[in-house]
Parts: sequence; C-alpha cells; structure tokens
Amino acid sequence: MKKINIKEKLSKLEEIASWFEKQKEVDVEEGLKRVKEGNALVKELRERLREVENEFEELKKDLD
Amino acid sequence: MQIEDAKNTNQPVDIILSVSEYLERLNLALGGEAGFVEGEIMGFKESPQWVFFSLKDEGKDAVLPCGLLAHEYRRIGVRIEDGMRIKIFGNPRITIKSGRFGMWVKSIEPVGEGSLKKAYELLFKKLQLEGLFERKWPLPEFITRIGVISSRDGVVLQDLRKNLAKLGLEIKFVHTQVEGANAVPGILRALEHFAKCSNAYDVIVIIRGGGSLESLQAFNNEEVARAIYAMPIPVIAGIGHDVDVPLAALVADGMASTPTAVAHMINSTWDTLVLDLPNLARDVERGMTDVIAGMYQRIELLQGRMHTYFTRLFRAFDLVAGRLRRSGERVGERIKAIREYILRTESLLTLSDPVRNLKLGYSLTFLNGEVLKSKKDAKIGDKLETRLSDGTVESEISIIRMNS
Repeated sequence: MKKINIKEKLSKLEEIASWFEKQKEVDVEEGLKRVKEGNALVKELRERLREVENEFEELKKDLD
Repeated sequence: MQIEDAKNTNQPVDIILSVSEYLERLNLALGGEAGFVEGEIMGFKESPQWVFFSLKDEGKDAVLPCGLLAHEYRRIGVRIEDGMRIKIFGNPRITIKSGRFGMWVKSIEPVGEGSLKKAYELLFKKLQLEGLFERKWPLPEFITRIGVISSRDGVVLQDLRKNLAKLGLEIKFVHTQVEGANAVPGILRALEHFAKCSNAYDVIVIIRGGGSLESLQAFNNEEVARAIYAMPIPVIAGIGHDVDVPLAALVADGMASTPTAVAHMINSTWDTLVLDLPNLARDVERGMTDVIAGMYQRIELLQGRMHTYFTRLFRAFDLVAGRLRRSGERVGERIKAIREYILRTESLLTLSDPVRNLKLGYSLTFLNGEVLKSKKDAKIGDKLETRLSDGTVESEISIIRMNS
C-alpha cells in the first residue's frame, strides 16, 4: 500500500477549509461534497499520523 | 713517552719542554680531576659563543673560573646569574693559547630553593618573552590514543588509568626517570620518540606526582620546555607542584596538577558524545513528538473550520425557513381578517336585503324600469310593475292622491 503524503493531504484539507471560509453563499451540494472529501482526508491523515506515531514510539524504545 | 718516563721514575729530569708541551702535560695531569664543584656564581657573562662565570666559596677567598660554549649552555637548559648557588660538573683545563685555567662545564644544577627559584624565574621570563606560553593547541575531540611519559615507579600511571573513562582508550607508556635534574635526557628521549610517530597518537601526556623545585628540575628545564612546545601533537602536562607551575606545564597545551585531572581532561573530549548525545536524543524525541502533536492539532483545526462553515450553512437555512414560517403566519392572519370582514359585511348586507323586506310584505314599484319613489313621477294611465317576494304584478294608475 502506498504511504500517503501527509504534507500533500494536509494542504488539500487546508484548501477545503479555506474554501468554506471564502464562500459568501455556499452551494450546499458543493459544500457537502467537500465535507465528504475533507472528512475522508481527516481520516486518512489521522491513520497515517497514528502509523508515524507508532513507528516513532518503536524507535524511541530502540534509543532507550 | 717522555712524560710517562718522568712519572715512572719520579725523578727531576733535565728535559726542557716548550710552553705548549708543558701545558699539555699539565692538562693531562688535570684530566683525572673531573668532578662536581659547588659554589656561588659571580661575574656571569654571556656572549653569542661563550658563557663565562666564576664559582666562589661563601666567606672565603676561593675562585674557580668556569666556561662553556653558548650552545652547550642552551643544551643544559638551566638559566643562571650572579649570586645563585650551583653545582657543576666539569673538566679542569688550561687553555694553551692564553694559559688561563678554567673549569669546562658539562652540567649545571642550581642548589637550594633560592637558586632553583631564581633559575625558574630566569627561564620563565625568557620563555614568556618568546611567547612560548601563548600558543595552545586545542585537544582533539574523542581522544583515543594516548602516549604517556612517566615513571613506572609512581602511582600516577595507575591513577591516570583508573580515572580514564571506559571508552576503549589505547595507552602507550614510555618509562623515564622523572626525578631531579638527571631526568632531563630521558624525558627528551621519550618526547623525541613520540614526536617521530606522532601520527599514531591523539595526545601526549607527561605526568609525575608533586615535588619540590629540586625534584621537579627536569620540568623547569629549557630543553624539555622547548621539546614539549615543539611536539607536533597536543601535550597535556600533569605535574604536581606547589607554588610555581612547572615551565613544562606552562608550555604544554593542557595542564592539570594531578593524573586524575588529566584523565578528566581527556574524558571531557568525549563530552559531546557522552553528555550531549542523550540531550540530543531527547531533543530529537521532543521535536518529533511536537511535530506529531502539532499535526493532530492542525488536522483537528482544519476539520473544525470546515465543519463550522458547513454547519453555519444549515443555520442560514434555518433562518430562511423561520422567516418563511413567520411570513406564512402573517399571511394566515391577513386571510383570517379578511374572512372576518366578509362575514361582518355579509350580515350587514343580509339586514338590508330588499328581498327580505318583500317577504315581510313590502314591495317595490317600478315605472318604466325605475323604482317609483314620488307621485310627481306618476300620472294616471301609467303602467306600473310591482315586485313582490314571489313575483310581479302589473297595474294601471287610476287615482293620484296627495298625502294629507
């Protein structure tokens, strides 16, 4: 499985978040689509971050 | 042969000698009189080629002229001046050319604390003037290969070993005498040995325990000081001392007064690894932890932002819906009001309905399609139409009367 690029995904999420902020009148359909996409990104990022964290914990054990 | 004969027979002989021959003969006789003489210096003179002085006894008129070549004086490595008490070793000799007698000095050793102190000060000034105490090479990082010059008889070597960190250090030990003025040649040889293979070492250590100025003479010797200064790799001097720091220590790149302190100095070159490494590791760990925590926070924040704005959208809907409901209610109220008005009007209308009056017995009379309201409009013979509640009747006017 290809490891996701945190930085890339994060900037995508950032983009979505700012999209909402930029809208004066949100297109609900479009908004929903983006929330869906954003939530998926959040989930992916959290999972990947958990992986990174676990890997880091392992390394920490090696150090001690 | 002639001289030997003279000696052997021990008889006055009639042999006439030339001046030089005679002086040679004297010198031969003096040859066996090499020895140590102790006295106080007077008339010290130094030229580029020669050094001259005299030794005298205290309180007695006795003077021994002494001399040596300037480079010998430098080699001996002890600075002297008038008033110092010294012990010299030398050969007595008469100079043929001048006929002057003198002691050719081979070694000089200050005698007594005062002289030793004086010699120390003289050399200190000289070396300081030359700037030999200024230059210090930094100790290399992670010292591993150590050349040690010391006496195997002392405990200093054990102290050094005991206090060196367990870092797999290699120690090459060269034994030499370290006590008194006689130690100079041995120390010089040891330094020379290490200078020749300096590539194999990170640092050279010269150590000995503390002692008096007298026992430390070799470490206040000019040659030793210069040899240490000239070493191609850093030298640490660990020489115990009381008041005056040995000159050998002053020219060394690092100095400590005990072998233990020398060991710590060497250990400290590993500090970056031994002490800083755990700190660095902790920094790395903390850094990464911060990065991960920050990342979680950022995702949280972005998600929050996104959701907040999306939720706000729904709130906007609610607002519109509320407005709609309220305006709906207003329309309803209006309709109700209209309905009530209609009802009210209806009842009013009902009250004034002519049909209702017809039923009560009233009737309407029309003349030519118009309601007849006055007798002035009618004349005899006009045809009238009268509307009743259930139909009409027609009639003809026959009489017109005025209301009385």
